[in-house]
Amino acid sequence: MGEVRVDIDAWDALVQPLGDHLLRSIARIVSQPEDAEDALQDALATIWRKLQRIRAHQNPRALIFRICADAAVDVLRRRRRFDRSKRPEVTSGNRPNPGGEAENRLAAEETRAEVRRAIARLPRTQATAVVMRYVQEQDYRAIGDALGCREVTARAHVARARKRLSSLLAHLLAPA
Amino acid sequence: MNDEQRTDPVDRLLDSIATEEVPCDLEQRLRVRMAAFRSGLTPGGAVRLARRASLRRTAWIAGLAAALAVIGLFPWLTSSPQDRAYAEAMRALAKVKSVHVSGWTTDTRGRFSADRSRRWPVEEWGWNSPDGSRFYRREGPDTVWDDGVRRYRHREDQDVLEVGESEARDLPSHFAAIADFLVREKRPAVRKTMLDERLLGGRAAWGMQVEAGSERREVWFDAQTKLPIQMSEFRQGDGQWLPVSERTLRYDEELPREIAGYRPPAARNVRNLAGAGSSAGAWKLRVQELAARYRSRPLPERMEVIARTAPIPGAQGQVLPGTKGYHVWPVDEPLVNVVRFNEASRWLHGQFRVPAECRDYALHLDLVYQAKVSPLDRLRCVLESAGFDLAEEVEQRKVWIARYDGRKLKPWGEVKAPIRRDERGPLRAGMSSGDGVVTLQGLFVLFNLYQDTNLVGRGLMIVDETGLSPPTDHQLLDDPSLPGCSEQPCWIGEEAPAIAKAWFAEQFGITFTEETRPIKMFVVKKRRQGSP
Repeated sequence: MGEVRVDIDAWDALVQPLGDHLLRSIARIVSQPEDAEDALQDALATIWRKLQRIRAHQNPRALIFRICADAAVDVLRRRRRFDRSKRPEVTSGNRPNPGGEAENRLAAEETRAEVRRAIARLPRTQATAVVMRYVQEQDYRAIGDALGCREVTARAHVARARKRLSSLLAHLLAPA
Repeated sequence: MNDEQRTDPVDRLLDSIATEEVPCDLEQRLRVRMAAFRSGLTPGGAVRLARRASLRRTAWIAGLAAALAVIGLFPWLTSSPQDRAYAEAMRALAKVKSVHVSGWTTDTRGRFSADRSRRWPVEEWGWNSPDGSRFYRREGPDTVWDDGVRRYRHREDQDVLEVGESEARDLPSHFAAIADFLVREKRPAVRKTMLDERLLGGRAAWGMQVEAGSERREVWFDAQTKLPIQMSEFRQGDGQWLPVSERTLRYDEELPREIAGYRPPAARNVRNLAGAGSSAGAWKLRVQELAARYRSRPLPERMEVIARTAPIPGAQGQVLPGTKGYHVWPVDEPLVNVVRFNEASRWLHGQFRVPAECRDYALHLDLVYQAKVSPLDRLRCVLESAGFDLAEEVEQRKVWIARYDGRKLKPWGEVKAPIRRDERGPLRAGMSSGDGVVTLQGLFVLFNLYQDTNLVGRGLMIVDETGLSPPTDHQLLDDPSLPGCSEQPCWIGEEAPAIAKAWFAEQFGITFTEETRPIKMFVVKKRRQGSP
């Protein structure tokens, strides 16, 4: 019973201060409100379940970010499977043409949706690494700590992810 | 990302997500969700939330609509009176040290009685000790005792003692297991009713009733402490609700000595429920028991003997869980075998003496030791715990001094035992007793072993003065050019020394000279009464 109190104290010390950062990073990866709530719920439940392990980890903060990244990527992947049959592939051919402000916003929104879908198609570790690096703005050392690998390996995961993304998003990268 | 990275098109795309402004309403929703999670943080709460997460996963497979339905339920789930009562009880339970449950039950089906008209008394205690949770329950002829490592169930009517792994839980987890129905059942068929406040044992209490099908349960909470103080069960029969059990819960009472000191009685039949094969399960339990022992006390500086009353067949030495650098060595043999098969004996064959009167002394114990303690010290400690000393004495012994003539030694693969093994006949001197690469020094040790198999300490011994530096067994396996033997010759019988002498000379150019030399002996002696 003492442990429960200790766990709650540990939660307050470790997780609460990161709260805004965590929920914003999830919201940026999973833009649909209900999906974001789902991902956040999964992440929080995982953090609570593994709190003892997180406390003992060499970089608890990085591990918490990793759990959130994993939860967000999981939801993205589930959403991708669910949507695959319904959503038409957006190519440069049917992408809305940039024009007025509303069209620009729509185009930007669609671009972000495509980037999210591309992240969902990455291998799990690469997806987590790239989310940690770009969305959560973690340094490579922290990513390595969280993934249980060396810094150089974390760099390799991100580099491979970027390479794969450049191929998946080639139609968006073509010069205007 | 810095500006340099942003020049890359992929980085720019990724940054478009990273820098996206999160809508205020979404941020607010997530913040509320996070706060709700924090406010429900109890072990039971975490379980509930995890369950909801898994529900949502299933809902995703079924479709977005189902997921939204579950998410839509969330505010109701977290704010219902049942949830609040449950969460408050959890928080209150986290602060108590012991619970005493007393009452009665008629629900004994499948256990000890099919008679549902009789009320059997229930007496239950759960408490925390420095090294974990403990649990005692007596219901009719059934007594369950959980010492944090093992759970014993003594069935007095059948004279059976069942032994299994501990299921002791802290009090909030225990309550969560029995009162989960308060928050678990959300189907419309489950009716939940808040009951009017009333006085229970002189204290204001409020209750909750949950009805599902033909079952009804009531839980009463102390209005002030929020702790559950009474639980009742009813079952429908003959058009009315018949009471099945009633339990009153009291907290932080003084633990009766007979409960704290309870030990399961001996029974005619003992059933080990710890796992298949039982012996592996028994050893697993024993290791857990040993590990638990050191959660409440410091580990020994070097080693400690913990006695056992019975052998555990198949027990094997292993690392002691939860410790760093500590191992446990199970000892379940007659004393002579403990000495014979001890790791220390490996290079000292021929130098141990176990007198006849000590040989069959049965040892059943476990030695917990730090990895750096030498095998000889471990053996000494084990023997001392049984009242024996391992005395070191120097005495004049007849030995063979081995000398090497300097010839080029053959690779080990080309050297075999002197006599080919006849699989149908008995094993004789010079035959291979088994496959396995042996170094030259290993061959000497093997000879010493066979000359003194009974640990009398008077057999012929080889003393190595060849000057050859021995490779390790691993080096031998890695390098086929090193000298040694590909078989392990057996040196039993009177003719063994002669065969060995000829074989060593022929295969290795090693000759033996018989001499009398002072040899250090390790002699097991029964400690005299009164000696320290």
